[in-house]
Amino acid sequence: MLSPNSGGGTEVALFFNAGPRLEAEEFRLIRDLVHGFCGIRLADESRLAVERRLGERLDGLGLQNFAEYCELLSQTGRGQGELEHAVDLLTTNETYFFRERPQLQAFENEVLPQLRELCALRRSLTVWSAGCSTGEEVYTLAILIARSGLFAGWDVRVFGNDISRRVLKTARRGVYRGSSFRAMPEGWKAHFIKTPDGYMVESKVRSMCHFGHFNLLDRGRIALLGRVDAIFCRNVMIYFGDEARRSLIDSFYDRLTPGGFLMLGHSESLLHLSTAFELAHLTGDLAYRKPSQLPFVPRGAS
Amino acid sequence: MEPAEVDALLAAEHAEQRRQAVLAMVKLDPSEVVPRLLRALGDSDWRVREEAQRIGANLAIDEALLSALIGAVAQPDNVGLRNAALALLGALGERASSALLDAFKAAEPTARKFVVEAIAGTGDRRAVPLLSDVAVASDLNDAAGAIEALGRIGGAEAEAALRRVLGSQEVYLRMAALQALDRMRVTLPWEQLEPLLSERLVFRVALSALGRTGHVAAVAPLLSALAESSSRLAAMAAGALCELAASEQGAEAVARGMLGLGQDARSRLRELALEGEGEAARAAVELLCRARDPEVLPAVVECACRNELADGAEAAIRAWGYDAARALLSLYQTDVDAPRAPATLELGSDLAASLSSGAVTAAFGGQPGGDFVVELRGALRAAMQSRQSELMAAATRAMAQWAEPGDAGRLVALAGSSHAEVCEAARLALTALVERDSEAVGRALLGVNLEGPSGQMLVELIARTGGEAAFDRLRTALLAPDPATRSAAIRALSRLHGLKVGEAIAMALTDESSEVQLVAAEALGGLLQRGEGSELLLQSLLVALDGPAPQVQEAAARALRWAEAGSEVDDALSHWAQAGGAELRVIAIDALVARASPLLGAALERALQDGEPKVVKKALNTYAVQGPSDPSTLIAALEHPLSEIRRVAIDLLLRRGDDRALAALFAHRERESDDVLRQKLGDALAELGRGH
Repeated sequence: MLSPNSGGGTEVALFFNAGPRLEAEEFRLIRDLVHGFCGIRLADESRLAVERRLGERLDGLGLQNFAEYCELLSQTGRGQGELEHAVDLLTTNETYFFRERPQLQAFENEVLPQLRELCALRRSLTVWSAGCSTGEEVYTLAILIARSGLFAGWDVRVFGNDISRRVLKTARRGVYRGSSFRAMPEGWKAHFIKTPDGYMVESKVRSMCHFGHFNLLDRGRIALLGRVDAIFCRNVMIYFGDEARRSLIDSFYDRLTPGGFLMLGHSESLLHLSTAFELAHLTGDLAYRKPSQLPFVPRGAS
Repeated sequence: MEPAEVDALLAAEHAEQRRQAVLAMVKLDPSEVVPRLLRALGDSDWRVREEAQRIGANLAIDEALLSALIGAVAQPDNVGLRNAALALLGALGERASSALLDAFKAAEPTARKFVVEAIAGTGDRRAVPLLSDVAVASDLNDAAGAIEALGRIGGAEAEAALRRVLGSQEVYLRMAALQALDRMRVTLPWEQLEPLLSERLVFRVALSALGRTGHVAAVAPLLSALAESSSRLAAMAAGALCELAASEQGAEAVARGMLGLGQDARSRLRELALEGEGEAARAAVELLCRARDPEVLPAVVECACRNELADGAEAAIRAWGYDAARALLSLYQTDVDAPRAPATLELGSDLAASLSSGAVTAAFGGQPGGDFVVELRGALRAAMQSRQSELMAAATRAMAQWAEPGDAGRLVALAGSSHAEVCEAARLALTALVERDSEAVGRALLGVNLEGPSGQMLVELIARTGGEAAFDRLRTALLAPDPATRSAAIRALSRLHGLKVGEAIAMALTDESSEVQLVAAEALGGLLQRGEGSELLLQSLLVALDGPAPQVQEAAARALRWAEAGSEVDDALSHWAQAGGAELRVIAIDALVARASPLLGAALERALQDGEPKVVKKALNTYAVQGPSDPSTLIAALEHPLSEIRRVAIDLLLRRGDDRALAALFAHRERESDDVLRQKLGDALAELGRGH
């Protein structure tokens, strides 16, 4: 239905639903609780899909109707855990390797050299995939960095987070099948090892990657990342309300090192959200950058 | 119950009814008890006799009882009654001995030996002078009884008396005295024993004593006893020789003697070692090891399997050297499917490894024993491929000593075995090998799957390999689907050093498993403790302290006690000392104490008002140690509504014991509403009053 943490791919599956009925008032309560919990804004037209997805959960919990479920969600403590579960069920996390190729190429060819210069003294690079879903973006970034050859001998970390425990399990495992590879360049196969369950990301790449579980609105948990040099947050903010978006952008700003880059999805921008970042024009794409004394030098400009 | 009823029960056919009669006896008038007790002591059923002894031991002792018991001892007809009376007199101990000594003097000659036995049973040393006299009396029965009694009573005076008897003209008494001294484990000098050995009867008794002499001359008679056809004699001699071998002077003589062991003695020892049991078998095994007899090796393996290989035997095998190890290897190779084959192989391997501290190094360099080592390694490697898990485990364990870099891969594979014993053996071997060649182990671990139970063990090994590669591998292990492996990876990471170690562990605080977060927080505490903190690490712990999982919060609070002085940490701890769960509040106070935080005083003030007793107790105890010298806070706590808090306050004030504290306690005593506490306080103050 929704893919707030996956870099796109909104899918709504509507089938006849013979399960418990979600009344309008109950839907509004769930919508508000989910929004307050993780910033995801459920559109009014998604009520039937919510009814279907959460209806199965009611069965699992032995609840008779959504009124009981709403009561559970509203409880202190236990309600938080269930909300997390509900969000997990309501979100679809469809993503794949090398998604939005032009942007990734710009990152490889223009941003990474800048980052090499920016981080040369400390010889460490941290990239954050905010809302990493099943991990394809994290591994894509790690492979790009490894293949660039710019950071050999550096301490490179690519961190992915998601609010769904289910997708993080897949991400950690690092084993993928057909559809995840639909946009992957031919030469990248060498970074995967065939296993009975699919293709596993090679150990060298995996050793650069790390996954964590937190809500993007939880600024405290985000602080656990320390400083990062680039953030990928693609097709996530489109599901957030303005307040949640501003909070998220503020967190990104806090976490980025001066001169660090923020890469958003094609349909996203910081318009009306933040003026703290500066635009960085890349070949065929745009990125945002936290201002620093080191100016952004577009490719070929020197 | 009336006496007649007791009598009727005592006469009943069923033993249980008679036993019930004994139980009923104690309620009779004391004068009615003794004759019935005596009757019960002479009952045909042991349960009735035992009950009577138990009842009798608790009766008030009077002349009538003692006289009756002594009479029962002295009577010649009912052996059961005599034995029961002897046991009861023994239980009465010194309370009965005066009467027994008097009785001895007046006893008929036929009854004296029984009275002497009763005296011995009391264990009363006051009887020794009388017994010493009787021990040299002309009546052999009396004398032998007294000698035995002296041995049972023991002590220096008894020992001196017994030594005197060794010079007796009567061989029977000399033998009895030697036996009694032996029972007392007295060490007699060779010079005193040597004249006794010519008499065959005494010689047998002297064998144990010879072992204790520590004299080289004692070896020859003991060796000759080994060759005796009597297994019992040979067993005693074997035990004595082992004891002699453990002495400073006797060791070499026994060693020489065993290397020249005659065929008869050897056969007797083999018989004992392979077919005997207990001490005798163990002694025979030890002696045959000293004799370097390969026939003993199966028995050695048996003993080793039962953890019964004596120290002397171990020393003897080591002295035997590579030949023993080689013989064990040959024994193993004769039948690798034998039930004891794994133990034989492992013992041979262990022996070879223990021959010198540099054995392994020497073996690598092809030094003395090199050919054997090649053969041993071959056998071990073959056994590691065995289908028998026990043999596989034994060989793998042995590889802790013998593995070479090329074995690392096989050992890593075995670490994933489904047999727990093999896994553990592989862990031990790899742990040892990593100390010798960390690169080889590191290479072997490169592509290994870290998921599952063996993954947790392997990440430990990866940490031991050290360096960048280890860091990368462990960071990859943080991707394991199993939280236990991720936790193990964090523990392993925390053994490494460097800024990025802390960063990687701090990131693990974002793990979805609170178990992993907990381990991460603890690991970060470890880094702080060893001075490897950083701003990120500190901030991470502060975030964890603010997190949703109570155990993680608690671990973070514990970790933050090691953080450098700073108001941010103090502020956070002070906040959670008030706002956290009860356990966290206590831990936060502890951390503030450890940090000598300026916020401690305010935190304690608040904690004293806490609704949770354990927090208040913590605050009070902290006050008592760290607080101001003024006891006002503790005195105020005497008014706390909860008695358990008042109890702590009372204890602390009592411990303090100064005038103000005591005055407050005296004043509080009557006001205390808890009866138990008031009583306790009253007792304590009374005790103090007596002390002053």
